[in-house]
Amino acid sequence: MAGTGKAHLRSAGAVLRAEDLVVEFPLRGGKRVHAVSGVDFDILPGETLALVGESGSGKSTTAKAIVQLEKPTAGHVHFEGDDLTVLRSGALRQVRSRLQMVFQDPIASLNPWREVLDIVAEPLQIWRRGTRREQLDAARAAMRSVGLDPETMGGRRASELSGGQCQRVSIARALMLEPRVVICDEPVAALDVSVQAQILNLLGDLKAQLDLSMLFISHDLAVVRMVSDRVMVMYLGKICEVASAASLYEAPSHPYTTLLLGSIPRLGQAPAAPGYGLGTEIPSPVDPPSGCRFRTRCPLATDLCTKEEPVLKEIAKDHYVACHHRNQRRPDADQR
Amino acid sequence: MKSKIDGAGPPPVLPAEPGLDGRAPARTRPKGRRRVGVWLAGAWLALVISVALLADVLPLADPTVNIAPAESAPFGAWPEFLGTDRLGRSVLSRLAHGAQVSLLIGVLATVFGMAAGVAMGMLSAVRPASDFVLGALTDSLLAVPGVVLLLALGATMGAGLTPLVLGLALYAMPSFARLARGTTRTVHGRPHVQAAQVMGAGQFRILVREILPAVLRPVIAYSVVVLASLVVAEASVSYLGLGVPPPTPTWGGMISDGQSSLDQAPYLVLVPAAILFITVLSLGVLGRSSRQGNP
Amino acid sequence: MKRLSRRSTPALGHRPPEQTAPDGRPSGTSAPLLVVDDLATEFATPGGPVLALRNAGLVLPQGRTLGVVGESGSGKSVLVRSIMRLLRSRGVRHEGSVRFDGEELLTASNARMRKIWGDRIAMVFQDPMTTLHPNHRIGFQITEALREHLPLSPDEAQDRALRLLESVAIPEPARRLRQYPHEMSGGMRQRIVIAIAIACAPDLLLADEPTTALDVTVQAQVLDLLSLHQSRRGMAMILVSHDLAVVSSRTDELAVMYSGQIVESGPTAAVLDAPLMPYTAALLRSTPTVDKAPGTRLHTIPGEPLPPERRVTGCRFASRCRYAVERCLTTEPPLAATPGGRGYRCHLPLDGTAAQEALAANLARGRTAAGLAVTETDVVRGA
Repeated sequence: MAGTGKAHLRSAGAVLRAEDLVVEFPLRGGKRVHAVSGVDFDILPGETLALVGESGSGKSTTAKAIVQLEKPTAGHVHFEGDDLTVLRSGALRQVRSRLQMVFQDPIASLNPWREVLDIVAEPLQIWRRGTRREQLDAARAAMRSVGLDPETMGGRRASELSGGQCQRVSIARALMLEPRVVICDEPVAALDVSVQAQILNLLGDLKAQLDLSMLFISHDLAVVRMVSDRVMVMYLGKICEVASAASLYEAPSHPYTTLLLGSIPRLGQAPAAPGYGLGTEIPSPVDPPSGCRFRTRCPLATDLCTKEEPVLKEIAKDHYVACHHRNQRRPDADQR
Repeated sequence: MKSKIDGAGPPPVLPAEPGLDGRAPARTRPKGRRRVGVWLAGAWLALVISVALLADVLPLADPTVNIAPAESAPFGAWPEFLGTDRLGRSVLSRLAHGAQVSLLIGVLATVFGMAAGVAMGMLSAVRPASDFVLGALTDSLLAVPGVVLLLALGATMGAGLTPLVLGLALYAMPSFARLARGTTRTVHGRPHVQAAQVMGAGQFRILVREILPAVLRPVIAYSVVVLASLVVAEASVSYLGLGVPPPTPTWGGMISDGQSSLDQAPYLVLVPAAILFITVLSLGVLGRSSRQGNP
Repeated sequence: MKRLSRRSTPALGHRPPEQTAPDGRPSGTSAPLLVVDDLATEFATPGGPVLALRNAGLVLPQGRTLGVVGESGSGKSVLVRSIMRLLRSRGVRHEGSVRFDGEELLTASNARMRKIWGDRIAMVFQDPMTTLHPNHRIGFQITEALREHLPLSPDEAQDRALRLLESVAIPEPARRLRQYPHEMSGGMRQRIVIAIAIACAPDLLLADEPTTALDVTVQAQVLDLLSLHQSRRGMAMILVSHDLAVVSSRTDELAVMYSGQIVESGPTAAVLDAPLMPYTAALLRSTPTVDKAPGTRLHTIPGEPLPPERRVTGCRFASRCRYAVERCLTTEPPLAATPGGRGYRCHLPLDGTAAQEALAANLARGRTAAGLAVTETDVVRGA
């Protein structure tokens, strides 16, 4: 399958790199769900890459394919010199300590039958690092670092905590093994606004302290703006636009990105009607449109978009767009 | 008081606020009659179990020794309060000792069947290859009528406690396996299981720590129902003469013995049958209420 | 039908309705369509009674839009469900009053409520499948709703259903009428639900998180659709959301809820411009927006929301408030009203000097009266 181009991949130094990632699920009757159709990206040390898209865009499937919770149909995931897609289960386990994940549903991602302190200590127990006492001490320290008091919270179970507290526990657990990369799959989508802000700030602080790389998956461009260095917009299993956060929000260049940004409700402002995409919704990934997958909702679509799939091209410094009609370099590109 | 990252704990726990007018809340409780039924069932089972456990120390006659004329009617003097059987043995004593054997066989078979079934079911849920093999095995076990299975086992291993327990366990295993497999498949997709996978936990650890507790709840509720059906199954097999060999008393064996003199001494069948019936009914009531407790 | 000026004087607030409409119909304004007065709702649970809503009061004139904003557990859904009388079951008790077009709903009979539901008050839920039956075709569900309240022949109802689907911008409406709910996307289903809700031209539409389950591009469409029909038909609407931004641009009035209470209300623009209650201000600052610079630290509200059943003596927000003084812990702030039609529950409204003095004192001490640590950076960072 044709990828959407690799122009946006950096030449060297990436800690995590996905190439030509394809995930398809077979259906009855020989059809397939094309969840992820040729996605490439890389993450540099200390960088946060945000992956943004609506439901059905394949962003969560991408995350699961990276950590091999979902076996990719094709493609490679290079992580610190290993190709995770070809590793046997024993070797994959070894890698997993350095590649952690935080899930969307904070309460359901904790074992409901165990106490919180035990859950946080579990990664060390799995890897048999230190004595039981050392493991528990480390777990207490980790709980403190995410703003939880181990004395009052440590003995509770997930059902006795709020969503925000559970997400703090999840983060503490993910950091126990000192990972290089943490994948956050919609970590604040299930939380209240005031708690959302706490978790976003916490992630930002920890990332700075620990020099972590992060893949931050979200449907919300406003949330993403607060945490990311680089943003990648996905639609129906393909990448539309990749750019540094500053460039993307200042000059969104793919019609889909423009639609997404225009749809975000803004405080106290009249809704900015994007004027297109109205009345249409994301097509089924079982039978995606030919050529450019966004063309069925795009105001710029022409015959070319039906026939030929656009490839990611650089339109400004570190700003890549896969669109037939937005492929010129912006005049101010060289000054950036 | 707290770290810089806003982590204030919950506000201090204060006593719950009374209602709008201080009235006690109208709690929803199960219907009263069902509660009474559960209590009665529990009381009966407690009686049966304690009699079974204490059968050897209670002032009862030896269940294998003739103590009085054969087939003397019930409501006589102690210890032949419930009469004597064809050989002049105390029915009361035989019932008490029979409870011991019948329940022991039922419980052992249930526990073995549950352990094997849960292990098989969980394994087949996570291993496609074993799913095929174990699925075929459980399906064929379910296809063979239970009595035929026990007959075959009795024929090859001879009559006795061990083949009986093994046979009944084998009979109970497929339904446990199916229940465990279904629950495991549901739970396996939950985020906390995926989180354990991402942490690098091995499959055995995930099955035991993350999934087993979820599987055990429905399985334990179901096991009470299975126990009831196994007590009946043991009685059926003993009735057919394939159970524990005489003179060891079991409830099914007593019913079987009694049928030859059904017209002269109907109590020899009716009394153990009634006790068996009430016990199985009680187990059913308890099983149903425990399943309602864990939806 | 009742098309009334949407720009009538705002009459929303905690004031009792007598003040708003002394003789029922003051000059220039219509009688309020909905008056909620001191409404409380209590649920009986195995753990004891839970007071999920207390002292709720609001006045909604015909044709106007009220936004209700709050976090989970703030009581916003309980408020609209209580107004709609959807919570009348064993174990639920209401106090206070809900008057709709002069009629008390809390004591109305079930038969009376069935006449009002759909015909005069309609509701759109977060999950469209709350309204739609999975095993019936869309067309049947719409015509059934229409014929329940209107004397229509089957053909007329069918025709009306087709036009309704067109009016909610559903492509190929004739084909959609023959489909089942599961054959449609979430956004499509929510449009169908809106079509059913507006089918009988109700006077009041209650929309409880109508777009929370939808994608952002679809959310904008559905909200536009709601606003369009609301203004075209002169319906009054209560739009409930956890998202301040969703509510802010599409409502005339705003009510902010916290821990079972309405803590601030007033004209939307005024509340957003200069919130009086520290909770509203903090909520505004902690909402992520695309207008802030990338990497900006968000202002946070420390701690977790107070569950509505928890009993406290003073202000329910005091444990998380940076302005809290001793009085906030000992005395529950009464309802206060401003001449501009605003209401708030706070001892230290942010437009007064007392709030600034309290904050300065708390900063000097390093903590609030409730023991919450406050530092200069906390306050400066998000402001």
